Amino acid sequence: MNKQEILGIFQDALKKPLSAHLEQWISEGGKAVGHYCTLIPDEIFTAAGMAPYRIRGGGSEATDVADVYLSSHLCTFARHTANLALEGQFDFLSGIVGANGCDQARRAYDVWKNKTKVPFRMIISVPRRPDENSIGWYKEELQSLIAALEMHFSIKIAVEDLRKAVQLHNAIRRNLAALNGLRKAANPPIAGAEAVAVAIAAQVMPPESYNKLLEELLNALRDSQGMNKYRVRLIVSGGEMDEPEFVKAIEDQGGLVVYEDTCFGGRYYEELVSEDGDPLTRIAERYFYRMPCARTDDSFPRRYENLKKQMKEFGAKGIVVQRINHCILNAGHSFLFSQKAKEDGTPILIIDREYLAHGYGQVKTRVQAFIESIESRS
Amino acid sequence: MAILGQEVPKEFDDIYAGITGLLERNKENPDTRALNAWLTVCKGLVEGLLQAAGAGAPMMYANLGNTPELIMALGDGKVVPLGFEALGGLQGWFGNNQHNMDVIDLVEASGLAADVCSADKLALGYMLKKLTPPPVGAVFVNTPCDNQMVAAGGVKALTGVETFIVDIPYNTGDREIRFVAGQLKDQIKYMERMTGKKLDWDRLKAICEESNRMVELLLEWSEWRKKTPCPQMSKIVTFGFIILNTLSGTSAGTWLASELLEDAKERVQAGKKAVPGEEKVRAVWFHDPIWWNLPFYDWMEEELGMVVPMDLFGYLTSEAYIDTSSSATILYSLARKLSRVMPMSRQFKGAAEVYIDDLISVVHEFRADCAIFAGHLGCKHAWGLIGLLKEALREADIPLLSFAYDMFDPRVTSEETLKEEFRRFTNDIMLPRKSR
Repeated sequence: MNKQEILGIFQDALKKPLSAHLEQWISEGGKAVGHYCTLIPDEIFTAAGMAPYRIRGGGSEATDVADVYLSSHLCTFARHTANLALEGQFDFLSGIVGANGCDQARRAYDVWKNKTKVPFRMIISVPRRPDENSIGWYKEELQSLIAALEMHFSIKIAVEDLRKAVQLHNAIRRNLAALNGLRKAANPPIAGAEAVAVAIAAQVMPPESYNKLLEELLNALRDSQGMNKYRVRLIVSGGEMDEPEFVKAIEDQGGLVVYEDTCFGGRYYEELVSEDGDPLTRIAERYFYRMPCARTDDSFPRRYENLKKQMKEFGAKGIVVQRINHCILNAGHSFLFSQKAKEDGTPILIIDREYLAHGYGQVKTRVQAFIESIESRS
Repeated sequence: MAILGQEVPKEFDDIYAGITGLLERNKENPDTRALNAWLTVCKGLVEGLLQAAGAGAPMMYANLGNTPELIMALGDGKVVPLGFEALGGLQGWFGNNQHNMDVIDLVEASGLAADVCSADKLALGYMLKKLTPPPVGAVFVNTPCDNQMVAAGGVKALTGVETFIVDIPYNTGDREIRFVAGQLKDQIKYMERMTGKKLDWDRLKAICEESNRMVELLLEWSEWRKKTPCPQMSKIVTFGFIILNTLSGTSAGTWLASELLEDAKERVQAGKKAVPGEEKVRAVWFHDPIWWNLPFYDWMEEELGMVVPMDLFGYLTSEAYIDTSSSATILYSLARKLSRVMPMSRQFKGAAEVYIDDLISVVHEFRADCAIFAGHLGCKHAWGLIGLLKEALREADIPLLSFAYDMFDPRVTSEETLKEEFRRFTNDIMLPRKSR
C-alpha cells in the first residue's frame, strides 16, 4: 500500500467509535476495554489479551443525551464521549476503566458506571504528585486493576504477558517516535494533521495490526515527497486534542504543525517502558514519571522546558495552546502560558474552543493573525 | 483610609466598614446574636491580618479545603495561616461587590479563563493587585476540585513561592487516609523548611483539643437546627466551611461555636424562629451559597417563608474529632478530616453517590421538604452529577430547585432572576405539594 492508502485506514479508524480493524478483532473473539486517560497503561489490557481502547468522541454529532446527566457546563470532550456511551455506541467494549484525571472525566465515568451496559467497570486513583512516596500507591492501583480484570474475565495476567505487552507497545512508541522524527525535516514527508491521525489511531486499533500498518507507512514515507508549502512551523499544546481537522485548520492557514504536546500526541508515545526488571514496576515508572499534563502538581515548568526544547529541535516558531472550554486544569496552564509569553516573548497563541466543533472559523482567523505576527518578527 | 491607625487600601476599608457597620446596626437586635458573633470574629480576623501584615509576620497560605491546625503548631505559633481566598470572601459577604467584579475582570484580562471558579479568580486577582500579603509558603489540598490545582500553580507563578499539595485520592477508606497522613508528614517538613520553625507536637495536641471543643459545640448546634421551626437564620450555616477552614483550633472558633449553640438553644426555648411568619418550606441547600448577596437569605425567609436549616457548607460529621493520643493518631485524624469531613471535599472528590447519599440523608435528618442545588459555574465536579442527582431525588420524592449562577459574581445571574426562580419553585411546586 502507498502512503495515502495507509493514511486512509488510520483516518477511517477515527471517524466512528468502532473501526473496521477493531470490529474484525471483536468478531474473531477478541475483547476491547475502553479507558479515559493516558495514565491508564495500555500494556495491562494487551497483557490480558484485550485491545486497549482510548475513549474519544469521533463520530459524535451531539451532546443532548449526555447533557441531561453532565449539564452543558462541562467540557465537550466529556459530554460527547458520554453521549456516545449513552447511545450505546460503545457497547462493543467489554469494559471501561476511568481515572481521576480530572473532575469532568470522573463525572463521565459516573455516567458510564450508572447508565451503560458495559460489563466491567473500574476507576483508578492516580496521585498528582509524581514523587517516590506516591509511585507505590500508583503501582498498587495498577495491581488492583489487574486483579479486577483477572477476576471479572476469569483470566490470569502473568509477568511474561506483561513483558510481551511492554515490548509490543514500546515497538509502537519507537515507530511513532520515528514518524515524528521525520517531521523535523525542513520538508517533512507528512503533514501535521496526517501525523496526528496516525498517533490517535494507535489508541483505538488493536495494537499488533496497527503496528504492522505503521511500519508499512514508515517504509512508504521514505519515498514520499516533502512538504514545502508552509509559512511557519508550529507546535500544538494542550490536553485532549484528537481532531486532525483542528490541526488541518491550522495548516490550511499556512502553519505546519510539527509536534503535539497533547495527551493523544507526545505524552502517549514518547518515553519507553524499561524492558529490564519487573514489568509492572517499569510500567508504573514510565506512566507516573513521564512528561506530565496539567493535572499533575507543579507540572508547568517541566512541560514548558520540554516545549522550548521541542521548538528548537523541530524548528517551530510558535506554540498554539488549545483548550476545550470548561477544562479547568488546562485553564491553569493557559494562564501560566500567558504569563510566560509576557516574560520571555515566546510567540504563544491561546485558543479556547469546543471539541468536535468543525468549521473552526475562529481558529482560522486567529491562526492567520498569529502567523502574521510571527512573520512580522523575522 | 486607616484601620487601627494603619493606612489600608480601599478594598480593606470597605470590608471593615461593612463589618463594623453591621455590628453597630445589629448591636441591640436580639435576633442577630449568632450573626453578631460571626461579625465579631470576622472583625478580629481582618484586624489580625492587618496587624500581622504590618508587623511582617510570616504567612502560610492555605486553600479552602484545608484546616489550620498544623500551621498554627509551627514554632512559637506566630506563623499566620491565611485562607488565600479570604479577601474575596470577606468582600462578597460584607464589603463592596464592585471590588470583586473588578478583580475578576483583571484576572481574566491577565489570561485566566472565565470558567475557572470565581473564588480562585478572586484569590489570584487580589494577589495580582498585591493586596494579599505575600506568603512564606502555601499549602494546598487538591480538594474539592480541579480549581485547587489551578490556584496552586497560580500562587507559585505570582509569588515565586514553592507550594505543597496534599493529594486526596478518589476513595476515602483506611488505605486512602493512611496515604494522606503520610503526605501530612511531608507537609510538616515542607512548612518547617519554608518557615524555619519546627512543629511543636505539644502545641499541636493542645490546638487539636481546642479544635475538638469547637467541633463538639458545632455538632450540638447542628442538632438544635433540626428543630421545627428552624430557630436561627439560614445564612449563618453558610459560614460553617469557613469556621472549619479558618478557626479550627482557635479560641475564637470555640467561642463562636458556643455563641451559635447558645443562640439556637435560647431561641428554641423562647419559641423564636428564623422566618418572621409561618415556616412554609424547609430546604437543604446543598451546594455553594450566594456569597455576593447574603441578604438574599433574609428575603427568602421573609417573602417565601423558606428556611435553610442546613447546607453543604455547614454540614459536619463526628469524624471531625481528632484523636490526640499520639502524633500518629493526630495525623491520621487530620487526614480523615481533610478527606471525609471538610465540606465539598467529602462530597465531591469521589463518586457521585457520595454527594447524592449525603444530600438525601441531610434532607431526612433536618426534616426538609426539598433540596436546592445552587450550581456555581466553576463547580464542574458538581454540575457533572446533576442528572444522577435528579434521578435519585425523583426516586426519593424530594423536589429539587437547581439553577446556574456564580457564587461571587452578580453579573452571571441577577438577583431578580434568582428571586423569580425561588418564587416559582415555592409557589408553583412546594406550596401546592404541601397542601395536598
